[in-house]
Amino acid sequence: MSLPFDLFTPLLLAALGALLSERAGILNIALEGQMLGGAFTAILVQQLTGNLALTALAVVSFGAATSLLLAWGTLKLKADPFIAALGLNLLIPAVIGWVSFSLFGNQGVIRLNEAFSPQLGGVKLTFVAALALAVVVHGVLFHTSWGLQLRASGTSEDLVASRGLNSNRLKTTALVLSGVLGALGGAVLSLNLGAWVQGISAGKGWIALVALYLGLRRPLPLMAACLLLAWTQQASGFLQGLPELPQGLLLGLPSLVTVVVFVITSATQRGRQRKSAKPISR
Amino acid sequence: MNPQAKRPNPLIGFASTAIALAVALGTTVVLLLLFGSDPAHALTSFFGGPFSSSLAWGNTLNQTSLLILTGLAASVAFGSGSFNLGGEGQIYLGGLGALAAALVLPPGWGIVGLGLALCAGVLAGGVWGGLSGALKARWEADELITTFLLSAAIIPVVDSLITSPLFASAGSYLITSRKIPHEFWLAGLLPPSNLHAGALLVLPLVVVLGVLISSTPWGYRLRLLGRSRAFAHYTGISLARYSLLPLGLSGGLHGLAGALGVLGTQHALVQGFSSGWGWNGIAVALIARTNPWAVVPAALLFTFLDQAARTVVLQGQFPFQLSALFQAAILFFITAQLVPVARRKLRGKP
Repeated sequence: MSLPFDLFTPLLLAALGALLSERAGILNIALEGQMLGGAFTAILVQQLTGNLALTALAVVSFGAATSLLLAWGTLKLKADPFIAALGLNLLIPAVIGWVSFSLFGNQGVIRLNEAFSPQLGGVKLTFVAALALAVVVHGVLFHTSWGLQLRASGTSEDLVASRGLNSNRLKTTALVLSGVLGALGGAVLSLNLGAWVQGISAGKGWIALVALYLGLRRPLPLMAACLLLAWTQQASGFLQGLPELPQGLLLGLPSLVTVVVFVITSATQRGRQRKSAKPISR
Repeated sequence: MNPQAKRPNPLIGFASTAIALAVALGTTVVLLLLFGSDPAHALTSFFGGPFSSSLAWGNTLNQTSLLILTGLAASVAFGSGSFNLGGEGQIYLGGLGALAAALVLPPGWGIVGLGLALCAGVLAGGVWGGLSGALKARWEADELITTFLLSAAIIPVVDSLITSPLFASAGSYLITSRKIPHEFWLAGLLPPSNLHAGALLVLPLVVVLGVLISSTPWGYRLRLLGRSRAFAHYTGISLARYSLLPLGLSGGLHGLAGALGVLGTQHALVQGFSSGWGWNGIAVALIARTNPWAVVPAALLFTFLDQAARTVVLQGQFPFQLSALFQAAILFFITAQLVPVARRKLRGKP
């Protein structure tokens, strides 16, 4: 079976985003919406301007802006990070539908004239870049003082405060980086296809969260986790091509396999997941 | 935890909720004024639409009854410290359970068969919600993730079962299953609206759940868990049992909503018939601050605003799903502590 580059690269980017946010103590649940938004922004700006640099800039700005909104809601207004992020996950597709309908008269598919998948010696450039980024994230998280501060913000906020550091600023930075990575993941997905398709992210923002725990919350094992999850997606895509199998079951298969993988991960590393949610009722 | 945290003041909670609703509504109205094709008319139909006729009234009440159920479902889970993000799938599966029972049972069974079909819906949703609870109880798998993914896994399965020879109907322009026999229809209450006898089940259910949660030891344990899992654990409450229970109950309530949709409104399983009910239920539960009694007014309010938004969109006065935007704004602001923030602003402190 060939390597599932097209599924792996966006997933790894989003999972690295999940990792940064989780380590800073504010897991980014809005990644799914940000991937969708990144995918749409990329096609939209590429279609309107034809300039890849502008497209990249727009995608990065989109990811940063939505993350800043989330940071404002959760850190400034003290909203529950999970619930506020769910709000974003509903908001983004609604706005996409609106923009798409106003500009193109449909909410379904927007096709570019060409797909973008630059190659470097037969290997996709985005794939190499994502791998390099994972190494960079590892280096920054575990071998710089900023990385140490970021991790401390996730584990012992009081310590961070006692050192005169601003935990909220660390969290905001982590959220922004996370949103940018998620949006870039989405952009890779849609530019590689050369089109925007409704629901193009197909739950990858959520699967990235599973990859985070499967990858032991460290960048290097995270790559292996993403590879495994990308493979299961590819396998179920392949099985869908076989007419003798029940289609519905197969469409549900990636999610189901992800659950199984997640349960196994949880069972083998108990007590290392998300800190139990804060009470919502007050 | 902030050691100086004071006892929560219920008044502040209520005011926070009111501000959040006002902000969400304000955002929606401003968008309507900015982008609507005929702002004055749009506003009239926004606020008048849900009450414009007995048809509209009946539909509003029917939708409210369903939303009370999904709101209760989310409240039960949230209030006991579990996240249930799988409402969409649990509702859909509940609809499938009710459909399967109604098609299999002999029509002669009448009301008994109807009851069994409702139970089948509750059971189907409950099993799917309870599964996440069991995974949490046995292997500490975070229910925030498993409820969502299990729901995402089951929706395409239900979609494809509708069109399979088992349930498919011939010659319909909608993607839908066969109609269930008339004997198993929940009687209409306010024709031609959608309101049906199943809606009468909902208020007694609120009372039962409300009493269970607010005045039994069992409900007390659930509320304790909602406040702090660690503390509940120290008092000797079995975390495993109380992971399974709220999620199973939450799933069962979602399943009932799906069953009512099939037996009362559609009389068949139409593809995507319950889309959005689960997320709306979460919004309602948060407006009600997970209090089962407060779910009723919260659901009424939410339905009114949701129907209002739909009316405006249907009449072509707004170009996209205004209700989704309103829903998003509610979720974004509803848990925010807006009162302390507003108070600090007023005093001019940072």
